Amino acid sequence: MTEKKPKRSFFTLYKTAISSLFAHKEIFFPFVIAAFIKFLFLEIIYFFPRAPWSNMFGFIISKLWGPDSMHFPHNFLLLQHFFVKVEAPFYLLIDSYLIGVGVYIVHKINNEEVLNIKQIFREVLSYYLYIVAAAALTFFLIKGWFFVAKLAYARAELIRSTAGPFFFFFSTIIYGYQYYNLLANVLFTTLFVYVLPVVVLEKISILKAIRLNFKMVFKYFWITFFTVFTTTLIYLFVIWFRNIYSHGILDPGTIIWVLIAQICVTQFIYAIVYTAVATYYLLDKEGAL
Amino acid sequence: MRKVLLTFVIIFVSIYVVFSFLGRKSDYVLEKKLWKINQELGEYAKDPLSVPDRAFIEVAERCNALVSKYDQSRLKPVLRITSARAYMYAKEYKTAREQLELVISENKENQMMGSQALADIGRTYALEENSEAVLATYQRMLNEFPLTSLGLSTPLYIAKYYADKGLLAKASSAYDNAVLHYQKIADEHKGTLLGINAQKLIGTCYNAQQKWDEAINIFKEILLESPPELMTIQSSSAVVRSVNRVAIVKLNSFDIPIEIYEEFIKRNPGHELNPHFQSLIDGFIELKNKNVKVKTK
Repeated sequence: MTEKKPKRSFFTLYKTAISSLFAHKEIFFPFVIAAFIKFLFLEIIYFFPRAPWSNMFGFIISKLWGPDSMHFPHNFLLLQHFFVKVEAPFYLLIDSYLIGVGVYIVHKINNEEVLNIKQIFREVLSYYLYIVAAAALTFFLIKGWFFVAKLAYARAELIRSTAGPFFFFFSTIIYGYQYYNLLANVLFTTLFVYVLPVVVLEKISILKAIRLNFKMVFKYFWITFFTVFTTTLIYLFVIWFRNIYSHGILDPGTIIWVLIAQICVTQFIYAIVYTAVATYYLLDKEGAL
Repeated sequence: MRKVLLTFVIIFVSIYVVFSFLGRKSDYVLEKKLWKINQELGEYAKDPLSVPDRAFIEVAERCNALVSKYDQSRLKPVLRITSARAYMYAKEYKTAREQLELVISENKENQMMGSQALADIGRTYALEENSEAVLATYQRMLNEFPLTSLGLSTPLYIAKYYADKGLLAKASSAYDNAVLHYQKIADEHKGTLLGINAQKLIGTCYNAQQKWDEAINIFKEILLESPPELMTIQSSSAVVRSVNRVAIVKLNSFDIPIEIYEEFIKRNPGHELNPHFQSLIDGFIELKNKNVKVKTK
């Protein structure tokens, strides 16, 4: 008679993953590097309107985005604009690689191997292109959703009804827009969350990784979904902070703190989600899940 | 890892300190301070009677301190004007005027800033209800800044000033003088935006005097005689609205605007305004055929 394994609950697994992350702070290392690179970029564009940067770049910036963008408080609009523009290349080229490094550190810790950070960086780099492709897959799906969501938002803005089904559609879209996007983000991330860890851990091509990813997702859908969902809830803090800022109550310079919060929260979410899914994958591989 | 983290923090803080130090005298720092002062002044100005005069004087003094600190800044006149406005709220009109006179004397090259300061001097006299000084300021504006936006509007302000006081004979004479003044500028700057603006102001004077035929003639001249490249949707919209209002409402004629717009299309084939004028012509013909009369309430 085969012995039936006790089924592990989401809470136990999630707790194990988080404990493992905080017990081995080295896992945070690549995520801290990603945050630092973004902070540095933010710091540089923050100083753009001032000397000596203004002497070097003032002319180009004024020409491209108007003279106001070199002056307070309009420069903060440009700062946000720059930050949104670099989000995609940052995620695809830097974040994805550093997430891969994080996943590999989890694997090394799981195998109780000695951590040689330089060696880990080098090993993960050899799969850089596959990692970028894996990140691009989720990224462009989410961007595709944003495109559709924007069309729905633009349509909803045209509605003038103050009651009835059209008004319901209008209110649902307009007021829930950010939250639907967050939920869509969670869903798409859940669907492809194992691709990147599988590429790094198994050192296989992207197509094989996608196949393995779906195997894992369908096997542990709710565990994976709630891991991504619960962690992403922290991002609500950034949404609320941003909403308060957009109401014009705060000083224009507060946008810096909104962006800093966004960077910290995003990196923290990546650290938790990818440590958790890498742990699930390794446990499944060992037959312990 | 701790070492790396410490290195990151050191790099980050060093960049911040170095760039803050390098940019400490830049206008950006001053812009930030000025923005905060303006926000504060704007809040106080919502209900100035409930704010003690001392609060306005403190704002003015902060501006003055910044003027001393950022002596070479291009924002110095803006700081002085903000300071003067704060003094005006505190009813310290003489001190406000001293600040504004400094703006004029220190910025001889900057006509726009000078005219702004002089207009504020006029406001201080108006708040003191010193009519003679207000008129003298208008005259000074005409002499010192005649071609700035504020200077150009001054003859009209003088006429409106008399009209508001109920001095109708003086107002009528002031409108006549204004027309002569604007005509001189229009002739001297024919074919330029300044000339067109002066002609528009002549039209405003005729409208105020209810000289409808003269008003239509000047608006017609603007549309048909100005260089076509200066006749854009933005620059011509006020003129077109005036033509329609005066011709249809005051002179009860759809023929006048139809004739003007047809002539424009004939003289300027392919002009960006032609489709707009054609749609107006079509609309007016339809209204004319229906014998519609437009009356003001």
